[in-house]
Amino acid sequence: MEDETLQEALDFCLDNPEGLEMEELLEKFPESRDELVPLLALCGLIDEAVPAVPQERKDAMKGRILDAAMTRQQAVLATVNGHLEGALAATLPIVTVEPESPAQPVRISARVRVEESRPRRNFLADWLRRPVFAAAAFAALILAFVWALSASAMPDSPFYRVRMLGESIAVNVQTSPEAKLLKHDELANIRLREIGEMERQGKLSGAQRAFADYAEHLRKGQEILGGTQFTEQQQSRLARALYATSTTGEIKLEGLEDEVAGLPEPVRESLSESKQLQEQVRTYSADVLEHLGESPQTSLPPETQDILKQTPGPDATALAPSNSQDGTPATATSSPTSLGNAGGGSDDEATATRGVPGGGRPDKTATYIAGHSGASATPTSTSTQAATATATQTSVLAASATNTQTARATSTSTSTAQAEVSPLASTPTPTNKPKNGATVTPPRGKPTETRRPESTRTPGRPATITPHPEKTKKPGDFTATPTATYTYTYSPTSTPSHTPVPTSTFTATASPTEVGKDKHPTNTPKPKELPTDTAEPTEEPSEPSRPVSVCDVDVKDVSVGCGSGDCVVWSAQLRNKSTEAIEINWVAEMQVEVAGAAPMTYRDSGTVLVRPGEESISSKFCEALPDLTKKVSVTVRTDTGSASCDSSKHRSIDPCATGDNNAPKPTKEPEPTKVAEPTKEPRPTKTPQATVIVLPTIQLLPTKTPKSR
Amino acid sequence: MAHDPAQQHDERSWVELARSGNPEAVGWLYERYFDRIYKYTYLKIGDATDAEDLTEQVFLKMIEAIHSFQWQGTTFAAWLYRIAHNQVVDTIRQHSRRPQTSLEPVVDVVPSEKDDPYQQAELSDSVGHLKEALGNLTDLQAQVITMKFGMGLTNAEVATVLERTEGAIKALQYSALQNLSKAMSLRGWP
Repeated sequence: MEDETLQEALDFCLDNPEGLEMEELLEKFPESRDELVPLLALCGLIDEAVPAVPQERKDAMKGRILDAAMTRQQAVLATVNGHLEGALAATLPIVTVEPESPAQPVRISARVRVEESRPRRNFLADWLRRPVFAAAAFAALILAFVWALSASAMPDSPFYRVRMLGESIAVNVQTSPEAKLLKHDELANIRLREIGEMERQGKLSGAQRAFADYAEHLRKGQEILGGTQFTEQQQSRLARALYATSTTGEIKLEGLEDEVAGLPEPVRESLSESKQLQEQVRTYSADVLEHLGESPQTSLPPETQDILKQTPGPDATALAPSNSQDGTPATATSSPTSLGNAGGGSDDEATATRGVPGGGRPDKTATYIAGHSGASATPTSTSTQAATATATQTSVLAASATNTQTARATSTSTSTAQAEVSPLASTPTPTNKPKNGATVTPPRGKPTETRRPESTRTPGRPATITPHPEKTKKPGDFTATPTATYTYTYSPTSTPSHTPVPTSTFTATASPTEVGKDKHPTNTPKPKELPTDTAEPTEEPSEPSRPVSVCDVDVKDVSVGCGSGDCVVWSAQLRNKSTEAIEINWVAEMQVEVAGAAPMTYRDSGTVLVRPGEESISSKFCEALPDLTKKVSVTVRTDTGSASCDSSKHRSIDPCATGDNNAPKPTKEPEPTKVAEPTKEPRPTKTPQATVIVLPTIQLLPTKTPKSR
Repeated sequence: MAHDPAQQHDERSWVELARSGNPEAVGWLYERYFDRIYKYTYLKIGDATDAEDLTEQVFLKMIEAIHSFQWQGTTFAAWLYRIAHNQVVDTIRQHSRRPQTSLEPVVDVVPSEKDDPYQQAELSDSVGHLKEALGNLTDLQAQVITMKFGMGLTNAEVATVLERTEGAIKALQYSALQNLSKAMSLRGWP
């Protein structure tokens, strides 16, 4: 207790909060005076025991420390500036310090690090306190408000432009052409609904922009469809969407004629232009569907189909191509009662090589485009070849009506037949005879291909879609550039006038021969049943045996040549690197590159027993190749199935001319040893096969079974 | 000095300024703490030159580390003491010598013009005795004495640093001074 009193007294005296003299302090604790005096004296001694630092040394030390402080300050400022310049959004907060003392001149400092353990600041509040960011936040709020207002803005609303901006963004953020097209289609439908709503409200005078936007979305959709290489499935889906929207639009816009009649000229003009564009798109999409072998009408909603069946469509004009030297357009017109092309293109294609799908032969074929009503074909080419085409167009929409249109054109020459499809053309008086009396015929001696190539289709010949030439173009009017092309796939549906002979279906030789020194039995289908060839040991006895697999066989070389008739003959060297005979499946594919059309592929396959060393197989493809065939290549590969070690080689040649017979000579004299027994009765081949060891299972890829010659 | 709330508030402001290396703020802190740090290091090391070097290093460390200083649960003086203490420990470790044993006679360092030679001699003897007496204190007692009379920390600050109560610090201070007094008495002081 006494010690505690002394401790408090001592502590008070040392602390001396009142700034008293020593005597005054001691008077406060008279009972402890004797104990406190030596202790306080000792404290004084301790205080005096530390020598003072000379002022000059102290100042020098201060100078060095302040130098270090300035260096530090510059580093911090550089860091802060870097952060500010680099990104205002940097997460490092800037702390503002404002000392209360007015005598302190520097008021702001920046700190570049924030310790995790420090209390978290409200960064949002900090940022919003800054005028710039507060203004930005306010602007964002205003923008959001306007945006919300524009969401339901009608075309006569001042916020409609904002809505258009949003829709434009919505289109542009789509990543794929397909998605963009569908977005355009969706927006076109929205425009139609808006037009309908404005009609109900009696505000059609303000629908001018909706008309234009509707057509513009359709036009962009058509551009995407025509300028992008889609698969057949995609093409079908997209064309159906465009066809449905444009047809629905046609019905709606047609119904507005009377109401718009009394409206200002710009509105009527806008409606007229929109109708023309939508008709163009509808025609185009119908054409695409037709060439995909689909009926456009099936893409329409049932109610639309019903309406169409009850509504007579506009007159249509089909212009036959101008094939004269001076380019005078030859016009073949008809007046189908249908609205659309009505799927009547098949007859056209039966006798005329359509410029679109069969467009691979512009240099020999007069282009004819009249696949649907309302279409005008005005080829700009000149042709030296007389051609005649008879097109029969049947309307589906008008179920009872059948229109036959005949296009005649004199075709003279040439290399590039550029067709312009102008569905906007409308000739009031149907004329069934072209101006120049030209006729369009399928190419001489050229059958329409009946086989559907397996490979992915590529765009056909370029076809330019332009507005009617008489129409005054305005900015925003649809004007296709010369590079805008149809992306038809090559899937002709017409009745062939000349069917190629499927002679490539089986080329295995049926005359097993025993050539060379090997005289092994030839009818052994399995390797294990083969007698061991002891004459030619290929393996060292000491070498450890390893499992034999199909991967030991590869294709060493391929030779391709022209056989008799239309045949392309090939032979391949197979190499067996193992010590045992291996039965292997092989596949031969002939790819025919045709100018302006998708390549056609034919396939042949079989099984062969390959002895150690090299074996040769050969076969041929006998196909009537198109005149515009550019190149023929044959790829032979082993089919190892799940082993996934296929080996292949290919060789290309120019198309065989008639009478060519330069069947490939095997690069190495094969050693035909045995010929497997064919599983079916082989046909005699036109060209003798050097060596064929096959168990052929011929497979022709085109889905349509070709007729025999 | 450190007990004045107004000064404490000023100190807080200057410390905030010093975080970015503001020379004025650093200068203010230097003037405020130089003597205390020097006295502390001198009491620990016992050599004036080493104490000066250590003091300079403490301030340089302060400039480097002040951005990480946090006000929670401590004062700037206590934080600065930790820097000084770490510097002293490093120096002692490097020199492998005990600080108290090298306490030099004050007369060699601070000759006072107004003191006569007799007084100086007497003081020198007393400091010599004090040096010996400090060497006989326990570590904790010595820490309290140096922190209190060197760094000028308050009992609360010392208690925080040493993680003791203020009462314990008062008791340690009292017992340390009593031990010193006894030791000095044995040496004829005062």
